[in-house]
Amino acid sequence: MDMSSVVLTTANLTKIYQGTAALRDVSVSLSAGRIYGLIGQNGAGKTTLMRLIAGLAQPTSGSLELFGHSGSQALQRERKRLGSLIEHPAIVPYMTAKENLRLHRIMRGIPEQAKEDELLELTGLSDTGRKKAKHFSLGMKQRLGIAIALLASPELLILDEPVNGLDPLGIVDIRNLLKGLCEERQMSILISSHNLPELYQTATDYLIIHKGELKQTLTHQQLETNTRQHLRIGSGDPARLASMLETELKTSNFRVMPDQTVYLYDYLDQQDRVVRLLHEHGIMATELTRGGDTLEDYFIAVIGGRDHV
Amino acid sequence: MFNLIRADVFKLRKSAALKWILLVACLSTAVMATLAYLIPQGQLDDRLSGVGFLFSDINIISILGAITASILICGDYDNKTLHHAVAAGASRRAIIGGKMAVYSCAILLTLLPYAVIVSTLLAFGGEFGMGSASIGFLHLLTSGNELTGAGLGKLLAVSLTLALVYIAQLSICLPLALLLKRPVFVVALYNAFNAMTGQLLAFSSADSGFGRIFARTPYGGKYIFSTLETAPGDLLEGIAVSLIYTAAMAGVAWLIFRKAEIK
Repeated sequence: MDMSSVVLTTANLTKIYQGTAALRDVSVSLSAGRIYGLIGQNGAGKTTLMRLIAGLAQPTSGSLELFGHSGSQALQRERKRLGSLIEHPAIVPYMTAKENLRLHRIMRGIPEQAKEDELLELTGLSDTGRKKAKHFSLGMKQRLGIAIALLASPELLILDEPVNGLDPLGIVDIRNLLKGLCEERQMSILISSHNLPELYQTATDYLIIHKGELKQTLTHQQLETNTRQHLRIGSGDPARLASMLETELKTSNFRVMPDQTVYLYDYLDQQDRVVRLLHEHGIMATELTRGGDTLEDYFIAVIGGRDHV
Repeated sequence: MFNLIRADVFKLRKSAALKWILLVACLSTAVMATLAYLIPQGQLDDRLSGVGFLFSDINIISILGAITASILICGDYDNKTLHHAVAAGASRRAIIGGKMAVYSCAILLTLLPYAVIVSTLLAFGGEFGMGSASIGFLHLLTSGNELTGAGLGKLLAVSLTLALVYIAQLSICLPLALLLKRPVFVVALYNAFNAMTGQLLAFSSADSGFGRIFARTPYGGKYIFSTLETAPGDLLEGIAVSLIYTAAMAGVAWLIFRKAEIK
């Protein structure tokens, strides 16, 4: 990886709240011009990671580097290159959308007044006129939150559940907007969402986080490979099963998943042969199904199966 | 910090709450001034002096000042503006400095009706009184001093001293708001604290050790009873004490906010 293109690096980042680790030893590196989908259940540590990056909380241990700089003063300076929407948009309810943008523009010392109209147009809020933000729908508030996050033309955009409350067309609009920003401005985006099918269409990379631990990072291409058509074989002894597949079926085209199931990518149309071999070798199959994973299935497999959900 | 101040001023300008605060300050000033004029004339029963005192600056500013702190701090917690400022790279020291500066200006603005009306009435002359209870601008009005042309500068200095003493008194609302985050708690706790310092003021004797120390705080009687007869040295001392106390409260606020989790 070209180090000059790295926008964020964390090393063993840990956050403990009252004896409970909200985040444990998380080490990630985010590059410019990519969209990172942060996947995890409620309480997995997604928002905690985002809050640490944004400086809203201090890490218990570990380090954080933004644009190659670390240390509290440098991080504070580099955060001027961030845009964020974490938990809830920073909206003053008695102001209009434009006034809210003006407030944040003034706060960030951005002189270009034209940015306000440009962003209202970009996020589909240009017709809100004199309507106060307190009368906005949840989707409109999210759009305004995204517009505020984009004010300073950030190099790293942090979005926590940005499509919450958006209608299907709104989701498509925001997806296209984010993809466009990423491609045209080489903006990096860290985005969390429970809407995994949507994330699958937006992200170029994925960070899977579970119970405060980073379980896996993978690119979209790797995900495509990992979720391709396969035979899913469950057994009590995945090591013996793997050995049998190599010796009897002469294939290494399989993967042992974290939940101990084996994904076999060959012999998709010869299930009877596979079953016979399992029987002959005394391997008890607890599951044998054909499928191709969705991101959701893959996420569940990575965190160790549905029992862990 | 300048951008943060500008943003807060923009926000306050758009806030209906601040307009209500100014309206209440104006109406209270009018009630106080009317009663202070009519009671000595005998046109109103002097038992109404309690009502007049209720609408005087010391009482009104302690309520409105605490509400203003709530708008500035608790409101920013509520609508996540504070979070956004930190996430956008604003230093926490600048945030506290900016808040204290804007808060001080808002208090000055709220006190303006009292300062203007009292100065005008003093310029016109006449007898004003509110019984024995009078502090701050009401005390200045009822002190019986006559304003001459040469005394205008002195009046300005006394008004400035009183305003700075009030700002110093209220500056504790900033750390309180950062700690409590709920407007109702801030207003209640500050007013309880204010009542307590009022009791201390009433009971502290000038010769006791505590009395001498207490008199030299913004809550003591030495500076809040400034009039046109107060010596310039005492006014300067009042200004210095108030500025130091306000800076100390900003320091306490910064210590609270410096490493705080912003939720």
